[in-house]
Amino acid sequence: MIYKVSYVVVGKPHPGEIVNLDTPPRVGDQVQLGGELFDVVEVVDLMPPRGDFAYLHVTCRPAQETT
Amino acid sequence: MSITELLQRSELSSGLRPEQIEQIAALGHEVIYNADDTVIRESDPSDEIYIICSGMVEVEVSKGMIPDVPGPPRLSSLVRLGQGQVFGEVALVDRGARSATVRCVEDGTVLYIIPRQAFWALCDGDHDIGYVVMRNIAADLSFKLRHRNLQVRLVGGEP
Repeated sequence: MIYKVSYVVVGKPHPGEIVNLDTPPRVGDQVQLGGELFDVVEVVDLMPPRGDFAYLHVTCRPAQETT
Repeated sequence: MSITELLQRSELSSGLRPEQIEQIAALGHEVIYNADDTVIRESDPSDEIYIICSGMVEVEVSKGMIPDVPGPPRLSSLVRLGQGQVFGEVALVDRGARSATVRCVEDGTVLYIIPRQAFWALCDGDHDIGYVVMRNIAADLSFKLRHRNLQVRLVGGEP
């Protein structure tokens, strides 16, 4: 399965991304977009899978400091 | 990754048989771009559809452009697109001018470029391929529209 993922960023100006992934993102994951780190806060499948593709819309926020 | 392998991982050719994918792979050519290179410019005529082999591009539209005021337009970023994504499909479908500017954001971004005329000739000549590809382009446009809707809903449309 290929996961076509749309990332929308809240909390910071960022255009978001659309990429193909081999594994689906999960809430709580950290993802790097354009060299910056973000926390995944929501994953929704607005469209059902079709063929080899699954479609996910992901909301993320700037990563929280963990020090 | 070969063009055929790229197309097998691109939604554009989802549902096509290997020999049909080979026909699409035979239509185009690769071009390598550097960061900040502009691939297509908003309002320009359109002749090609693009598939991202590697790297990343950013899609931008001019905002509040006043035709009589000199100087470059202010650009608003809509989205970044990575490997396997397609762009240039809006003008491919409606045959109008480019609806956005697309700029590379990474050095060594490789794009596979298919001339519109050859693409349409293939779709017109083989309706099995044409139906599947046009359905896939419609699904891709729908996905991008949902991305934009979420941006507007969550952040007011200002990235």
